[in-house]
Amino acid sequence: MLHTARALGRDHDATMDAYAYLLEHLHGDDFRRLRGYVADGRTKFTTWLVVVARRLCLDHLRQRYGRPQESESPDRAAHAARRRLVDLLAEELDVSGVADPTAEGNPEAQLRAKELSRALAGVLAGFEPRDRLLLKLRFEDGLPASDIGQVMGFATQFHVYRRLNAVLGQVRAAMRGRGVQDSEP
Amino acid sequence: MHPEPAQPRSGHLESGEVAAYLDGALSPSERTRVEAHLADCDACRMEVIDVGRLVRARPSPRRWYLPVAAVAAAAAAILLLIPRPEQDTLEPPDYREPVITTTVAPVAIAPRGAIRTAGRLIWSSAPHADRYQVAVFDSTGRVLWETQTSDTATLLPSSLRFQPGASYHWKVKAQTSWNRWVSSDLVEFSIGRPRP
Repeated sequence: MLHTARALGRDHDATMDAYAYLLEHLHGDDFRRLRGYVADGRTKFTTWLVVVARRLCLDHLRQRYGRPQESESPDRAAHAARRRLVDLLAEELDVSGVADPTAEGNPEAQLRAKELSRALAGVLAGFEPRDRLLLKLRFEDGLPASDIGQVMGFATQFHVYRRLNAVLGQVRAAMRGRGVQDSEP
Repeated sequence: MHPEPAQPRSGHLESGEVAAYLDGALSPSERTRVEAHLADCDACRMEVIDVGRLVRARPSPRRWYLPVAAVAAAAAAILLLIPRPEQDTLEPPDYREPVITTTVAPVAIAPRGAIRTAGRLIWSSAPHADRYQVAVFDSTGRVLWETQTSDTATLLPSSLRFQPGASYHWKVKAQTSWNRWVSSDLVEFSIGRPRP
């Protein structure tokens, strides 16, 4: 629990405040939250406790510092969309030709990137949830294969790469089916 | 009034679902439902990523643990020496986290991703490392080539032929002390097909 508080705290004082808040709320109401754990033998108590501890710590941080700045979100989303485009279609696209859609003064490149993004979103919508999650973790969240393997339950990193390659092959085939052959949609 | 973080948040996964997903404890249908939600919900996906990292993370050792550890070790030794009337056959619960290590791993620098040719492997140095072991794998995990060197780069032998378009991986392990190795992440690369 201290480790969870430390991971989210900005400095030592904030960490210890969050830790105290965490202990107080776990202890409160005769350990009601801890008694909420269903010991069905499937989920480890430690994993469940980390989820609860993280949520309590985030609550504490929000109460103390407010919600994170929303103004960063559009930039992050635009960056993620561009990264997704470039990464997913890297082999087919001339990467240097894909302009930053946020850049000003290049409406043609912006339009091309938007159309590619729209086509890609349409293709991805038809994929299995597990494959969409795999692509999101890899390209939007930038997780290494080892982390993806552990989160999604792949046996090894090789299995992650193999599945990624298979899914990317399907994405390329579907994009070609929509008439996207190269950087020109 | 405080919010209820351990309770289901509207439109998001419950804490039990997040934990069960990470522990691989969901049924196939539950897993599909959770993964469909995770694919579309940034907040829940971030939670799963964070919790996964926290569960795997190893807290760094603290000096003030040492006296406590010494007392605990002495107590354990005494308990072991006292004969017990009957042996407990139950498996001890897995309370402890894995062994702590703070060694910095080398980082595989090149090749990465789609490249034209692969002539050499380059990686960053690891503190106190006197030897590196590198290995190249094919997409099935079979070792194609491996070697050891004290440098942070090595030439690939000309006998090693890469198929254009096929996926390959490599990683480097650094020896930081006697029989102690720390490994880089596994990195993927492929040789691009020559453009017409």
